[in-house]
Amino acid sequence: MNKKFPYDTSDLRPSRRDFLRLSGAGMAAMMMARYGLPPVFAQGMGDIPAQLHPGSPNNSRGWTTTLPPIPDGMPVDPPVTITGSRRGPWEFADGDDIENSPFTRLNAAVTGINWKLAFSWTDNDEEVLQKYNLALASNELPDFMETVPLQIYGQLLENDLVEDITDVYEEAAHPVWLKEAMSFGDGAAWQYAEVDGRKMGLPYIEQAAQNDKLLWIRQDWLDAVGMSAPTTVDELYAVAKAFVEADLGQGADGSTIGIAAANNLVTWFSSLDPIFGAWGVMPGYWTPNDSGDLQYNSILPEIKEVLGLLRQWYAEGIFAQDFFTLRPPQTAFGQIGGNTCGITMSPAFAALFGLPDSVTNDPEARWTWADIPAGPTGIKKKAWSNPVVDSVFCFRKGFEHVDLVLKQIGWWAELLQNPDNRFHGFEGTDYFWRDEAGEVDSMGSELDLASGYDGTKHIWGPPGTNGGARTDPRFETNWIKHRRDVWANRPEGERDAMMEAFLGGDELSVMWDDANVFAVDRWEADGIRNHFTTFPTRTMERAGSSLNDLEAETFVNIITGQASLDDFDAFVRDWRAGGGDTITGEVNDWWHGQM
Amino acid sequence: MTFKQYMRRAWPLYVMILPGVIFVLLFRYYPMYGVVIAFQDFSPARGFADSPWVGWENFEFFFSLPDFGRIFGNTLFIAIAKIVADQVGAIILALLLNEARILLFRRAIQTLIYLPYFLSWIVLGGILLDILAPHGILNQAIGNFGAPPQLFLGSNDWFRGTIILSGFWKNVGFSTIIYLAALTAINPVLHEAAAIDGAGRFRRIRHITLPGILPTIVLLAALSLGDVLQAGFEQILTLYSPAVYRTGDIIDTYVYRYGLISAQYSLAGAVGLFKSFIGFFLIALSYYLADRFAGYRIL
Repeated sequence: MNKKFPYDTSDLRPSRRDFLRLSGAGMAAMMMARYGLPPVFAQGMGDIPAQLHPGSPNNSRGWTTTLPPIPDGMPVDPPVTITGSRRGPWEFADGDDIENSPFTRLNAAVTGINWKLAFSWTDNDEEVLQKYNLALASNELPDFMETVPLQIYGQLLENDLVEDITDVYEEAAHPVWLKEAMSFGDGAAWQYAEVDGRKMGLPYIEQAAQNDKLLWIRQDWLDAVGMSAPTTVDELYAVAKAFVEADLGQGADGSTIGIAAANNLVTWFSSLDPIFGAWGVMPGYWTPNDSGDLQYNSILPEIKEVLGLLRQWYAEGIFAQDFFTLRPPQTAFGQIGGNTCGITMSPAFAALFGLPDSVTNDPEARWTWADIPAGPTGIKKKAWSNPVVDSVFCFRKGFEHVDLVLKQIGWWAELLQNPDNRFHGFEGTDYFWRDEAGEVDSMGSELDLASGYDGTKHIWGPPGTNGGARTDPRFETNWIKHRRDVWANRPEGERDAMMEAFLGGDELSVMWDDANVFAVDRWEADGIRNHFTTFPTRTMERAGSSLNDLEAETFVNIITGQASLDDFDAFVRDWRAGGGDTITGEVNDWWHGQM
Repeated sequence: MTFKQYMRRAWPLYVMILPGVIFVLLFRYYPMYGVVIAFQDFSPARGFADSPWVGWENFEFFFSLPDFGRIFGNTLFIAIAKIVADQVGAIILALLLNEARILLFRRAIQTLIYLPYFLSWIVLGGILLDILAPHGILNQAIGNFGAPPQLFLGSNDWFRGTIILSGFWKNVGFSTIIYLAALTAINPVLHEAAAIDGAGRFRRIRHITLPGILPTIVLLAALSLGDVLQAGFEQILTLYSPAVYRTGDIIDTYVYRYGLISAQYSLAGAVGLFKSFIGFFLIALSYYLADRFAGYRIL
């Protein structure tokens, strides 16, 4: 079987020696960066004019970004124009746009590629499908298609509209930052992008443990009720109950809730997946059972137990009354940020998303994080974040510049992911990016760096995709470790502005670092993995939507008391009769065919 | 008058309706050939020509779905309730406004109730979500009377009522204007004569105003039959959640989830065609009734 999870990628990082071997230019650049040579250095990078160079060399304590060596044969002459689709949202400083920004200008100088935007989308669930469907129906596919959702990808393949990049990948892909970085897990990175042994695109890889949950909790509230951070589900309930009863939150009397929850029980922020995990199950996931078959978790008796528990919690006011109408960002900015809730099971990035608003609105707020709680039998599990997203970067069939795009991606992957390059935006740029909730995330204007902007949203290709695509799943963690192991060991007087900014982070960003490293350490051991990782089966396409409706409706109504707990049994019957049994058969045909 | 003479005189009129005819042909009739996808296993990449034919399979699948009865019932219930509420409410409002003496007051009220009609459901939906939230202004208000907060958008007991009332709020101003226009057509001499004969306000409303606008009432009621399957897609899409699928999921939202999100175009096409088919008969019926009872004819 071609799937060994969780992956071990510890041997993927190029060692210092590998890095030096890459090229003399790279070495020289690194040495200069290390010894803080003057900004003139920027002019030493081949034909890249100094004003296009990233970094902040003109600042008294600025820093220089080291550019990776320019790929062979680049920049191409004459320049080529390539069309691509792109996920938004974005907002640029005056005069600049997605086709013309410091990123694209640098890119054009390095590669000779000019990008033209074919279409874009913001919502990655529905809008992205509409946009790709339109492109497909009107037969106007862009040359490079960013994060094509699986069902569109399936149609593209079925109709032979995707360029097979197997051979050109061998030739043009960066040996370290594409080939090696994406060779983890015995080919697991390619579970979607490779079809019958042929590479039909590039995988969409995210940060390892990106959405793996931790327990975030208000330390000042714990102190106020005289309790300590919960380690079991029972303790979690007791603490949440105490928070509600003490009504510690801001806002109207009696508006404090215990635990933040959102419209999906298993989701990326304010999720309840660790509660299900404490019983060893995960709604919506397919996991192998004792006889080696894949089993749909949502219909297991353990789910009924957990639903019964959540139902009791809801009745006691642990959750917001209307939690099932809230999207995850609304819990982050409304409940957490608005300080009506002191507990959320959210990823490490909660420290940068939601918690800062909480502290802004209540300067007394002190947050801490802990491991997820254990269940009655001591099980401690959470939904495992597959770093390989079920969408693919594709090239239009007949597109002749795949090699150029691959070279560009390799170059940016190295620039952005190798901590030694120290990329952190451009001096003087003041670009804004709006997230789902409309909050503004400032991107490194001068030395305002502490927000942790990683420069990955403004250039075409996996390392520049909005949403956090990259080629190396442990890239963020490696950055943190690098900062702590290398930069922190430098005497204070010898640090430049970027090092100071990163090292001198506030309480929350330090917490983010800690939580991130911890989550990645627990990633392999604590995750429940969805083993169904391929195209939807025939019956899923037909009946899946109806079955998902039924499940969402039943679960939410059981929790809110609009249905009885025993309706779960009716749901299981209906699910199985309404196509679920057929789907189980199809899923297992695929599963056993994999072995 | 020969045809030639007639055309010599009437040709500017034909030129004037030409753009409208072209518009209808191009944007209403030309796309109709797309209904073939309801009988195909359609894939956008293969197009209409090359997708395989599957006969009635999509229809059979839809009718066999356990959800079919539910979404059909929800659609009928919400749409009919909306039509009734809208028409009755508009008549009452128009009568009240017609009796108002101060012109400024009348104009101001008319403008205020007409205002929401111009806002899109996305905007109104956001406003409603805030107003109806568990700690929103409405729940705070009823809380002052000691009532527990209600989940107006999340409870199956409240959802339909919320939809019908909010739809009423948005649309009633428009219908009211039509009735007000009809009211102005009533000859004031009748009112004056009745007043001299000693008829009070209510008697005049009953014997002059209502009979005077009866043709309009019958006409609008008959024509609204064609809307019996239009329960308000944008409104419900903005306000619903899985918790209220049981009472709030309508044909259009269902088709949206299936067709656009799950990319089941053929199935969505079949459902849409089914809806159009019923709608066609309802519209034919409504025009027959409008002709029979209100003397309204197109030709």
